[in-house]
Amino acid sequence: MQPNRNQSVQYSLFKISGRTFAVEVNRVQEVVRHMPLTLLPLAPECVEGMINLRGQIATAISLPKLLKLSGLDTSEQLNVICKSDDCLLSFLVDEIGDVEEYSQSDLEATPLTLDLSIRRFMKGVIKNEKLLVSVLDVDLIIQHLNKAA
Amino acid sequence: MKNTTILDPEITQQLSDLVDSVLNRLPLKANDASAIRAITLDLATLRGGAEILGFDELVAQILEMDKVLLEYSQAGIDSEHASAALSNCVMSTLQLLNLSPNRAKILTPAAANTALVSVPPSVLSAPPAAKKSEPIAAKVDSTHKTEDKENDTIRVNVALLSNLMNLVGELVLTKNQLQQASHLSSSDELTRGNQRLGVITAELQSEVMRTRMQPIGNALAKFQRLVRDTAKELGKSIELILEGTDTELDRTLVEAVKDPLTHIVRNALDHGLETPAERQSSGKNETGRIKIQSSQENGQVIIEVSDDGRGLSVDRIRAKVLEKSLVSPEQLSGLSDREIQSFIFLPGFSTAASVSNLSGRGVGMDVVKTNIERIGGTIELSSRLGFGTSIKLKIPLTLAILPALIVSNRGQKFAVPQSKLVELLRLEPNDARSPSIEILQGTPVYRLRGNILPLINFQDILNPSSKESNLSGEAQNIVVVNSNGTLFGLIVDRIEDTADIVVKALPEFLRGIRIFSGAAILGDGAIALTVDINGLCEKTGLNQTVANPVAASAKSPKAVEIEYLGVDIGARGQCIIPLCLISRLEEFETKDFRWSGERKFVLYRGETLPLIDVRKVLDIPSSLTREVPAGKDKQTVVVVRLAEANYGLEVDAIVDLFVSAADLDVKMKDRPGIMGTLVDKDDVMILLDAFEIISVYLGGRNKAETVEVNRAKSSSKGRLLIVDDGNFFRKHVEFMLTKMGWEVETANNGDLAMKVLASSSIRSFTAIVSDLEMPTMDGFSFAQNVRKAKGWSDIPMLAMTSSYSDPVVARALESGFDQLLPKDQLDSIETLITNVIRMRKESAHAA
Repeated sequence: MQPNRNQSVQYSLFKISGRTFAVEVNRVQEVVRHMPLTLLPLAPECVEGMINLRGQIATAISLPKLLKLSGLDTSEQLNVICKSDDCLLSFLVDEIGDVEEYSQSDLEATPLTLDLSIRRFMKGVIKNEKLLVSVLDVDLIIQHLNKAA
Repeated sequence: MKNTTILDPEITQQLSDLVDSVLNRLPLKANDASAIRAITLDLATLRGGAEILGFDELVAQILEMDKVLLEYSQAGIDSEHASAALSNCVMSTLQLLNLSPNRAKILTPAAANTALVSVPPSVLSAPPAAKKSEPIAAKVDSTHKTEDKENDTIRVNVALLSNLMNLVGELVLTKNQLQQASHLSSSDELTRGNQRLGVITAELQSEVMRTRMQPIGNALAKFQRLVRDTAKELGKSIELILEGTDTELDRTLVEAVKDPLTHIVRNALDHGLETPAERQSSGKNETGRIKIQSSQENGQVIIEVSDDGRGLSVDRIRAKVLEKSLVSPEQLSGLSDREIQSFIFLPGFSTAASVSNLSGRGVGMDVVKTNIERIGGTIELSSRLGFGTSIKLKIPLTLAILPALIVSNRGQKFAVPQSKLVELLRLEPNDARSPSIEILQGTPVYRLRGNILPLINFQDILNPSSKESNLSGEAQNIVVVNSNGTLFGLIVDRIEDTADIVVKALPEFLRGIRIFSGAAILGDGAIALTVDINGLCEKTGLNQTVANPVAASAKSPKAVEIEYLGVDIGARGQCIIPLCLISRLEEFETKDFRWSGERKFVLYRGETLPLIDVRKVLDIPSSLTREVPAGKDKQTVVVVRLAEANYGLEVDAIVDLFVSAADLDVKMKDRPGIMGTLVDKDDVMILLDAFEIISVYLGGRNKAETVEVNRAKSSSKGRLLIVDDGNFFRKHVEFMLTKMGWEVETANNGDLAMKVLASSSIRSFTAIVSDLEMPTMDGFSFAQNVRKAKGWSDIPMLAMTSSYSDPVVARALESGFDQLLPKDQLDSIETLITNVIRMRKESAHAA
């Protein structure tokens, strides 16, 4: 079924080093404050470790490292917990924004000039009056991780 | 209800849904054609299912119902009677399914009552059907009594149960935190409350665990049919006895044991149990028995599959082990019967003489073992030839809970499954009694009761980049684990505690790490990664010995060790001569040397012993040789016997004895007199060809008298086929026999030898001399094949072996060899060859 252009989608916004990102809100289970990390030796570089989320284990992924934003000043104190088929992923971000609703027509294709290391995880760009939001695709991220493993 | 067949719950559900649907349409209204049509359809579906499942009784029952319906619609019998007859049949169907009607209330009380009254025979025209109804109707009554209890079950989504379990786990963790906090408080109220909370949560946890439990019978249900059908197919009479089918275990485990059990039962059916005739002749009951007993013991479920069949033949396994060169004959002789039986768990191992569509293909028992071990279980086998086989599976009650040892490294906790644990060692730094960790070629090892135990430093694995050695000074903790028979020690910082952990799978993209199988949340809320011992073994390359279940220290298969004498001839490199060629080592006074022209000799035991200057024969430049000390008055001589004559090889000194299983590498042969090199681990040794040296020496003196010519003179002795996979040994035997005047062809193994025979004209060989232990086709199968081959079945055959023992002799003779020669008695090879030729001739004459 083709999504209706006017159908609206809710996005959860967050910031990493001042840049605004978003994921679809129905993929987000919850947002939690900093949790103690258990290191995962030998894991890919972007895997920071695991967190105990009330009895469930979530794998913490550093978005700056995944998106190759390293070098930027990040704190990564917050966990955006996303659901996937067989696991929970926690994206470490700096700041949490609001949940905002946009219509499908607000989502534009990612400009091809963007760095591939970021573009390959992006669903598109949302423009509101003030800023441009990079919308990340959780499935693309998982696909990438699985392929890299 | 012992004879009740247990059905897969899903099938019973489908069947009972259909039955319900029939029941829903009862009692029949007069002339309700649509209801009849619907019922007929349902019955057809029901019958189809019953037929597939092989429930003959059920099919008969349904056919009966069909009949009633047909009669009703055709003859228009009283609808009340028809309804009664139908509900009666339905009830007995349910009885067969071991169910009670879920919607019994839909039946009007009147109808239900009529259902219980036996049907008037007039309704059912077929007498046998009527006969059947009566006893069943009586049983229905009892079903009704137990109905309340059986109606107590509901169907719940498994995901919901999993969630419940997770939540209870969380509750336990929170309770633990609360309890820790309460220790700090002095409030009695809080302590009491906490204690109650502890009891309740523990109870809650165990109850929730129970919700996932299923009787093992669910997995065993299909075996009755499997056994019955297979027995029929194989023409065997076999009875399956199920005991303890109500033993409960986690539903995922019930699923997980299904396939391994099927395999084991099939093996028993196909290979284990004999045909009725065979059983009768061995004095057994014609009907074979397979028994599956399940019971619970110490938090484990034990499933034992036993049969009273022919049992495993240790001899056949032994032969197979040798054929496949899994261990050397010496190692094999040191193994117990039980250890030998455990070989059947190796991949590709099957002793079945023939492959059937059921089993015997050699894939199986290893898969069974892997599957059982994957769920944390163990498998044991015991068998007595002629009395049967018993395979015991020990399965944990639940998959979710894994007893583990918690260890820590740099403050992070890891869990090692208890099932892999062998022992824990603690090495105190200044304890003189226990050996400390030793470094072998940069790798830590430990002498555990005399055996070398490979060690893995966990820190090095977790952090490959930082090679910091923490192996000195402090006390060391070593966790000795067993990965499929390979023992190794894991050096960890600390050994914390044991715990029952709930293991959660890692996301897919982390499975590539391999050394972790999952993660678990510990009582204090910390996450512990569970160490995958097999994965760790693979990662570190330790699994290369996995194929050998017997001992971690076992050497590579097929290790025929040969002794060599190391000699110093003044050349670079270590020269060696096979010890079996040497008859004596002597030292002669130089003043005893005699000369005959240019030929130097000594008088030795009443005959002349030519002395050969090896250095000269090998043409080693004098620049490479050391100065012979002037006035040297003694000469070391290696006496070699060849073709009934002794020759003395002059050497500077005798170095040592070497034992090596390495085979000859002929790439380095650069001159006559050198056979090639042997590479054993880090040592390279130059193998001198004593015979060639002698031959060169003789040839150099007088070309006309070379051995080659010698051979031509007496070449009529016969033509031999020498089969041996050892380059050195084959060459050696070939050389010896050629010298003795035989014509010799060689082959590397039985397979190639068969090809040589196939391409040669019949009777072109006088005799065959073959090694027993060879790759591809060993001597035993070679001999069997030769005896079967057209034109070669009566050729004299001599076997050579380095493992000469009574069982080997017996087996060799049984395979078709005429005689056996121990490899260390090569000098009698010609005597034996003539012997076997004579034996064959005599027996041919006798025939």
